[in-house]
Amino acid sequence: MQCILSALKVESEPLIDHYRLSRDHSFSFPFFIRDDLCLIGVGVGKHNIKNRILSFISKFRSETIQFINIGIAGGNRETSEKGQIYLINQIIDNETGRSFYPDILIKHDLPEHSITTTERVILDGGRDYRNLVDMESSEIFDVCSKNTSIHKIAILKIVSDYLDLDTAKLTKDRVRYFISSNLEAIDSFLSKFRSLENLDKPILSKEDYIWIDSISNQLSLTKTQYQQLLHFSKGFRVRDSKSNYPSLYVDPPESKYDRNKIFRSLCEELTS
Amino acid sequence: MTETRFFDLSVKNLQANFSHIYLEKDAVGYELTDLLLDKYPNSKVIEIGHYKDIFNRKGQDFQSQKSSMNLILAKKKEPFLYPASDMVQEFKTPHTYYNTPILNCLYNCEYCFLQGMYPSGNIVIFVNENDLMNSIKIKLKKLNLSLGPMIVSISYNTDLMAMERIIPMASRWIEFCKEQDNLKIEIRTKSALFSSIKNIRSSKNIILSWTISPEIICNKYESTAPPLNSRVDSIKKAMDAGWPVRLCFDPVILVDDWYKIYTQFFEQIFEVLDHQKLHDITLGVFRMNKDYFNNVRKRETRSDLYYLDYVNEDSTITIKKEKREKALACLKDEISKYIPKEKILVWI
Repeated sequence: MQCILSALKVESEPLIDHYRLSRDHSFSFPFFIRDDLCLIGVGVGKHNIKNRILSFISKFRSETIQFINIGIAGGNRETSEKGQIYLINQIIDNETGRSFYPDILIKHDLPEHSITTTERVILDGGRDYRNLVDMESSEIFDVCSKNTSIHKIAILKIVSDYLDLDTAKLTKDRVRYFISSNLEAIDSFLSKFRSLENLDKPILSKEDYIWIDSISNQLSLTKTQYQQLLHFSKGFRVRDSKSNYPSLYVDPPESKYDRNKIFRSLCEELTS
Repeated sequence: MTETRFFDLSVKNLQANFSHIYLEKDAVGYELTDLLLDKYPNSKVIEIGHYKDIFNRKGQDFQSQKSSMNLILAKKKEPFLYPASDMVQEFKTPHTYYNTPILNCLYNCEYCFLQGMYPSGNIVIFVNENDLMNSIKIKLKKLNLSLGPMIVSISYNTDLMAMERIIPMASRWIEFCKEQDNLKIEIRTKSALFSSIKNIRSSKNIILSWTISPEIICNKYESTAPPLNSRVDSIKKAMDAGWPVRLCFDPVILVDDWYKIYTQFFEQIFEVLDHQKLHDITLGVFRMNKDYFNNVRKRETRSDLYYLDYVNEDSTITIKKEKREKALACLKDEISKYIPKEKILVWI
């Protein structure tokens, strides 16, 4: 599943239209979804990012999720080009001085750039910044990287201004234009990025977990036994990706002794 | 052609290896840094404060990174030299050490401890090789060498020879070692790149150690390393050129029919290689530090090796004692048909 994170409503709108996403009102914040692509409006600045992402993750816990932050950023006149989309390879948080580094494993056609996340809007021409500048990237990366592998996080930024007085004059239409004119590049990137999911397929499928849970319930397994069953089931699946797990036709055990005996025999079958 | 051709790119659209080079500020200006930056002019170079900012990041996926490895160039800080691990056969030999000119390996063998030891699949190259070399010179002055020469494994956490066409460190270490009295270095490898050092005159102070396994084991557990015949070809050339060669049948993997598989393998190997000329042989079964083993398991490895029945002996995960002793004794007997028993070093 891919989850786009965008700050401004006007950044989200062209993406929602392009991917024909529908609003899901079960969340208290802007959330749009269609099949395995969704979009969260995280708002401007850092303050709402953590709650919204964690709330989303708690609902889609069983999914393998890729996070893609898409939005506009200010740029340095000498190192970036207005209207150009960049893939971010380094994020510096201006307040804390911390640096974050996404893992860019996917072959892509986009120019790369570093970005600095600030807590206030910069309008002085960006004399102090050779990087792009935004207000969300570091927090998005920090929150997502605590909940998923870093190669599943990408940050795409389109330069909308050169951190000068034009920034304050940036119209909604202009922002929409910057996103819309890069939809082809975004599309292409998302499609390539999705292919990384092949690297991330878990060993056990949902069906495997259903079998494990049913055995656990049937035998009233202890927590340790459950972990052992999980381990042996993974080993079984690694050796044989297609066969069904052994069937268990027994009455619920009457004692712990019976339970342990059945469990041992099942483990032997899984490891043989 | 580099050895990276052996990689299995099961996922399309991945970046080529070394698409990104992370350059530690302190590593700027070193000869090896310049060599690498010249070698990969199209790589994106990102300056970093410390190599651990990249190498030790949280949330890395070792196996995903191995599919598209990046380089980290750094300056090694002390310690430059470590005592030998008890996982190696020679650890009881006096004055045995290892160092780490490079962290991580081009290959990705399923039984390798590096995947449990390091949080990252990227490769760190320490560019201040003179500091590592000087530390050996200093140690040599302090040791009581009447007990034997100082032995340093320089390829313990990497495969230095496999990297030789990327960065010529093995050859530089060989030249360094030749100039030192009472120093032996071991370069352990699965490479087929003997050709990269073929113009260097052999020296009795440098042991070239090749890890080789039966073809069925190579295909299943060492699929990113060169095939067996390429390795054997390199070994033969090294022996013909007069290099001391150690063969490492290590780890022996006790698959079904292991005895027959390994017996036939030894026959095959000693038919091609002149066993009289071998320096020695090491033999051992699969073993791994408990923490590393658990790290690999936590990462949902797809290798069946990590779902077998092992024991924990003093924080080493390995085959049950009775089974491994029996297996290693059988294999030692087989090997001793070709080479004297005292030349067979066994990890029991």
